[in-house]
Amino acid sequence: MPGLTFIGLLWQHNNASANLAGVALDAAYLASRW
Amino acid sequence: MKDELPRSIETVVIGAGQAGLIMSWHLQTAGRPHVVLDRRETLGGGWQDRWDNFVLVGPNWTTGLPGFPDDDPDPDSFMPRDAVAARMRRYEDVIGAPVSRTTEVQRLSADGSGGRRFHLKTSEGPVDADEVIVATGAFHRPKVPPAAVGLSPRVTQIHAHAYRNETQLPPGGVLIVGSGQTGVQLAEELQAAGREVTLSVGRCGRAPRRYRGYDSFWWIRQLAARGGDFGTSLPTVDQFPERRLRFACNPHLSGHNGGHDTNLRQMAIDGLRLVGRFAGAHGEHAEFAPDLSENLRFADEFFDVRFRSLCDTFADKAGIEVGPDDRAWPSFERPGSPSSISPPRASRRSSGPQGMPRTTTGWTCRSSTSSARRTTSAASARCPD
Repeated sequence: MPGLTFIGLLWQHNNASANLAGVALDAAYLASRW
Repeated sequence: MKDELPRSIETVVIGAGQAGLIMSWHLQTAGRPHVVLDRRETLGGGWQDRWDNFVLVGPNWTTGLPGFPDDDPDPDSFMPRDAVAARMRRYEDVIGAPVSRTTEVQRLSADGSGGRRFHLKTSEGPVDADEVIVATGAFHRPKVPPAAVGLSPRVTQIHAHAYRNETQLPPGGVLIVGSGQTGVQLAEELQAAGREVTLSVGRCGRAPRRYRGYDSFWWIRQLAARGGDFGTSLPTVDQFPERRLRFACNPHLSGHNGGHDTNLRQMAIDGLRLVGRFAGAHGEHAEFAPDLSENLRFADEFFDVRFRSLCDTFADKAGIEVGPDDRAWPSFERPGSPSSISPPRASRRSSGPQGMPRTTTGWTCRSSTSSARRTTSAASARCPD
């Protein structure tokens, strides 16, 4: 659904998506699409 | 005094744990109006729900966040629970995140008013927004294996979510169902407290604390950030053969006592009793699948199958000097692990904490067989004297 985003869940991109060491990478990816 | 919650705003972030706060930092950097809603009074997310002796599995340097680099004087140590929560609170202050606490989102619908896409019903009133970022995390409701229904009320059951420390448990042996990171670390903790611990082992991998001179998290960070430059990216979700594998447990590893491997074979040598997957219970009799050897082998092979060649190739192509593979390989092999356990004699009912029924008899082993049934939660059950 446009406008609805999830972050910090297991394996959204890879196995680091839900942990402290990896969630920032997913966040940067989302921000790069704004 | 609590700031007035905006009734209409471009973006709402639900959850002020690390994921929500990082998104807030990005939104601020991009100049986008937003508010972060969190149901708790104090920030620190789900870290606040962990047991008293919890420490991060990743080294302190992994707590570096956008706009808030790691400043820990000992980056290779492992942060305890309260320090992690405190660090999240500091992050909110440092980045000036617009967090509205004690604001629980009760409903989200795609029928916003005033030209906005979304409508949020919250405990502090309605909010309309064009964008909603859900950063709530994945594990809010403890999952107790359905097979646990058969356990007698004389056996105290407590889920890892409610476990804080060993004093919550009546005296006697402890059965831990679930061998993910939490289950294995709790087994270590209870064993160190002098308990007789039985661990029901499921299909969960094991990662070495250090591989070729570097912490496992260093390898993960390198592969995630730079692996693409060398053809050694971490596996991505679209490469999974089955969607359910997304929910597989995190591999065994611990940050306790300066960080160490949690090898079930070594723990068994040290006195931990291992059994297969929890298959069911009848009264005070618990049964396990005959899959312990297979599950231990899966744990043994996990790192080599999934990560070792990625790490080796990355180091080689990136020109990183690494040491030898000096992982320890305990030779323990359990001969005929028990397929069921029961209290040794009739148990005496007594009253446990908060009126919970409990018994006070330790578990003993019996030999029988049972069919396997999948359980994924880290619940523990005990049958004391």
